[in-house]
Amino acid sequence: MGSKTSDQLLVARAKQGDRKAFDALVVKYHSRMMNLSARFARNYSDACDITQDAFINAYRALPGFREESSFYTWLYRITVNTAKNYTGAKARRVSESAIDITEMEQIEQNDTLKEQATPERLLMAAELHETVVAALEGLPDNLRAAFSLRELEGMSYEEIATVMSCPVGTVRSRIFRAREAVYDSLKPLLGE
Amino acid sequence: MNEQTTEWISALADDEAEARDHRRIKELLDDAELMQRWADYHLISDCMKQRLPERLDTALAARVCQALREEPTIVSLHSFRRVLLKPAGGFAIAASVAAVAILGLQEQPDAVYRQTAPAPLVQTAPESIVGPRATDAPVRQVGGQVTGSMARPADCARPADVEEELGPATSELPEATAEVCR
Repeated sequence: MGSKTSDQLLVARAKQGDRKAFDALVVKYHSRMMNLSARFARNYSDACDITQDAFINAYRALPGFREESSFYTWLYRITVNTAKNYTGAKARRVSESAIDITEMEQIEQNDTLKEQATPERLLMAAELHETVVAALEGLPDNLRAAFSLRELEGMSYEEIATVMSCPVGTVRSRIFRAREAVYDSLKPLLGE
Repeated sequence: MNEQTTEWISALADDEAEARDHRRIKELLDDAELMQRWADYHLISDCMKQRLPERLDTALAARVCQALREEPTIVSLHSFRRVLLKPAGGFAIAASVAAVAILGLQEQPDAVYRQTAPAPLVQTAPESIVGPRATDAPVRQVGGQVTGSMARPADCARPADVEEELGPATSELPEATAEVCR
């Protein structure tokens, strides 16, 4: 295992002006940040806006990130602050514009319509989860065990190697094969 | 897409790969298919840990990345310094900074110096040679700590709490400048 985590490496590259390195962090964390934003937002499109704003704020603040905490912790804090500012500003805008209740209902309805307008791009977490669980159940025991120990128990490859009495290289290979099998089962849902 | 690379991406997603493999990192970042695989591996992981939002827009990450393209490219000062202070060029710059710092200190032997913000290195040198500002600036003692726009103890050392407050600004000064301050 490298002495630096992938996040540290990507952060370092992003700080040197490599935009694609920051894209890799966006790709990695956007679902989790969306999940966090959704707890603050009143609707789906607000959660998307908060997530996007949070990443933009993080990108702007990146030169000042001193890496005293993990990137994830830092990004989490930025997302919470962005969400608070966003919801606060939105509440102020609504009260200042003295919008009437009928108009508000109309806006809410439009939001809902907008969200339903592109159903093919929306994945439902429950459906994804069911597919992943089914794929895991279909795996040979040693692949399922290695992958579950990694993803659900958070064990390192070395720890898994000890538990499963096999070399680290074998663990790495088993986890990869399990991941690929799950990925194959998700392809139809992901449209790939 | 070769299997060795995807296996490496799988290990990287677990922080179990040699992350300093710059050739492979570059390959990952430059290849849309590999990036998609990186995304999907993380999606699977988030799904297994049940930390996905109820609904997930597959185009969200792409939209965020697109929005980030509107932002000016960032280059942190720390990285800039590292590049700037490399080999021969670095030596020349460090030597110039040291010379300027020595001149500044000789010109203002009693002046105490304080850097109020983690300013870039190139800004610290002119500040130390702007003579009149150093003497004109109010210097006062608050609770045992010298403050003022140009406050600095005679031995050039800064109090630990100031060091902590100001962060890595001076600790990242080149060796030559650090020597002057010892």
